[in-house]
Amino acid sequence: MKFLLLLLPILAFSNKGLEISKKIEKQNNGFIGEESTMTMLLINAQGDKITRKLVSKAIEMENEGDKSLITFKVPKDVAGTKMLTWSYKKNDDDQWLFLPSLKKVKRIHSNNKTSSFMGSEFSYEDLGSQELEKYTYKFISEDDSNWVIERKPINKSGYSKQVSTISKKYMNAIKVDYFNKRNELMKTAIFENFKEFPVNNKKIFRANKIHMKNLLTKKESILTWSNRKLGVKHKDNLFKKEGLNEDF
Amino acid sequence: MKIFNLIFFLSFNLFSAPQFDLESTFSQRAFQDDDNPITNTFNSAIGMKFGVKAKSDEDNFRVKIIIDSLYDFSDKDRFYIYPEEAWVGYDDGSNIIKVGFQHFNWSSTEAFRPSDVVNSRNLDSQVKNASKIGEPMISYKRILGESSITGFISPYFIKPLYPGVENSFATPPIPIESYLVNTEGLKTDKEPFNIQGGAIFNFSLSKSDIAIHYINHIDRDAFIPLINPLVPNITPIFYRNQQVGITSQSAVLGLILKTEFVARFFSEDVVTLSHNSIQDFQIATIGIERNFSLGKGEFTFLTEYIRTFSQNISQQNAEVFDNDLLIGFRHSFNNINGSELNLSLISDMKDLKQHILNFSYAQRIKNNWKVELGLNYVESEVLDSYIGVDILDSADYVYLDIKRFF
Repeated sequence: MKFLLLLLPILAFSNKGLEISKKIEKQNNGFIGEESTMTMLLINAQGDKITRKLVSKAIEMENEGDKSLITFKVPKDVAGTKMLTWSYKKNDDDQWLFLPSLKKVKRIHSNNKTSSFMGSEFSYEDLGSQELEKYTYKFISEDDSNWVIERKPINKSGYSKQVSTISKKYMNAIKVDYFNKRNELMKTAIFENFKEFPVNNKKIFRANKIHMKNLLTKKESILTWSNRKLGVKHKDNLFKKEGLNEDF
Repeated sequence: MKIFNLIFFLSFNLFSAPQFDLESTFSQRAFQDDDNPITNTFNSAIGMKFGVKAKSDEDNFRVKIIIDSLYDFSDKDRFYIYPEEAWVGYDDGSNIIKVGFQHFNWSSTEAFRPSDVVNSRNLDSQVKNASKIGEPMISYKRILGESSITGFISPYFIKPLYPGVENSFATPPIPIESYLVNTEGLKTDKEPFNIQGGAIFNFSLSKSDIAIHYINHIDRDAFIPLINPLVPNITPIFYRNQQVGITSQSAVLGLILKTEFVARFFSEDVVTLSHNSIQDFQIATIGIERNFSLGKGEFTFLTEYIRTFSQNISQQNAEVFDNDLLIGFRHSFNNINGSELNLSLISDMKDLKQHILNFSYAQRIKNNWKVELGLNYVESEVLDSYIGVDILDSADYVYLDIKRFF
């Protein structure tokens, strides 16, 4: 009985972590559709810099994960390449790649999600849809402005855990610490430049800058968003495999 | 040229903010010395690929043009310019109509692609993936939920682009200046106006993407060479056939399973010059692709196998690939330069005397430059088939491509 009583605060904290995460998800739902231009600045350990540009579009699905379409613009040798992702709450995502030089739509396996995205410090997993059901949650602490929550992946992941500092004002993470499989702090992401987007009488905040620092390799990547719009009603066919090989 | 004039007229009057792309390539290649004074051991060429695409303000009308060209400083016959694509189109999200030069690709496998036969190819481009030449056609695609059906009709036959006599790919170094299309019985003509067409139905089942196709066309892959020893020259004779097939890509057990099956049917009254009728045959391909995420990159393992089924053994042997196995590796370093290493080996499983080894390394330099260094090595018995892998036996080469993107 004493053992159970000792466990109660932990269970309560576990539930609190999940409850806060559900609240955050609810607040960020309802964006309908989103589009933006993304610029990624890659900085290596010597301080050399190089830029990548992408156009991102996403559509919110009611009962499943979101669908997203990323079109590569710079560097030019991969310009026109598109990546379509259908994310699911529990199952593996569906992913397709359109290769414009071959005019070929290729199904790819989503088991590459731990790989680096375009040579950056972001992995596919970091930028993919963050479905609530794919993690377990543990409440760590809170103060007047923020909550700190730990989450552990249920499925295959490149991380053992992520510790997020979540702003009560923005209802979004402002910092995430990523721990590798050896439980070492591997990367830290700082979320900045929050902007408010009114969608259907609701205010949704989005960070327009993420600064990812790899503490092990000393490399950095800075992702910024411009021309961001929420509440966009995209054509449904835009997110279909069948429309992927149309070049625009 | 009228079609180009129309496309340019439309692009500047109907469309706004066109996007222009230019890619120039400085291409060097060195062949194994074949002891033939006619053929070039070294090629030094410059290539330009120009592209423009635009859409109307309402997003429905589109135009796209890609023109590929190459000029070789050491081979007078190695000069070409052709449209990869040049079309105007309408797209309302569910109905897509295009008129002009187009090319199609619904193949699922990487190396052996029996379904990928619609367009003629530039047979002087990379051995591992010869470029396609756009063909004039009208296409219509209808997207229906998670499936689509595409139909196309092409009134004009464009022959493949063959290497010239000074080119080490031309074995033997005999010019291919003309062609004939078999129309009926032993009759052949040079008439380029040949109605061809097809339809593709794409759909998904769970984690599988499936395409079923039907094509009625002049088959450019399987031709019979007519050799005139007096001139000398080679005239390829192409035959009409009907092809039905099914291709699939499936995500299963952590890998991508790829399959292709095609059946080719020839008209009963089509006979070759040796008075043998061409018999129907089938080709099946199966492939597996598996990605492994490594700490500093991504490693891909690929294997494919192809088999031809025919009652006519000589016809089966005439196929470029039959009973062949490919094993390939790709390592993407996932670094700033997008460095990538490819290695593949195709082996003929019949007698293990034919092998094609391909190796390449590519990386960007900054955002606008890319270099690729590669090797293509062929080992084969010389069978004098003029169409099999054996013609490339003395055409081993290394290459260096330096590309600048504007």
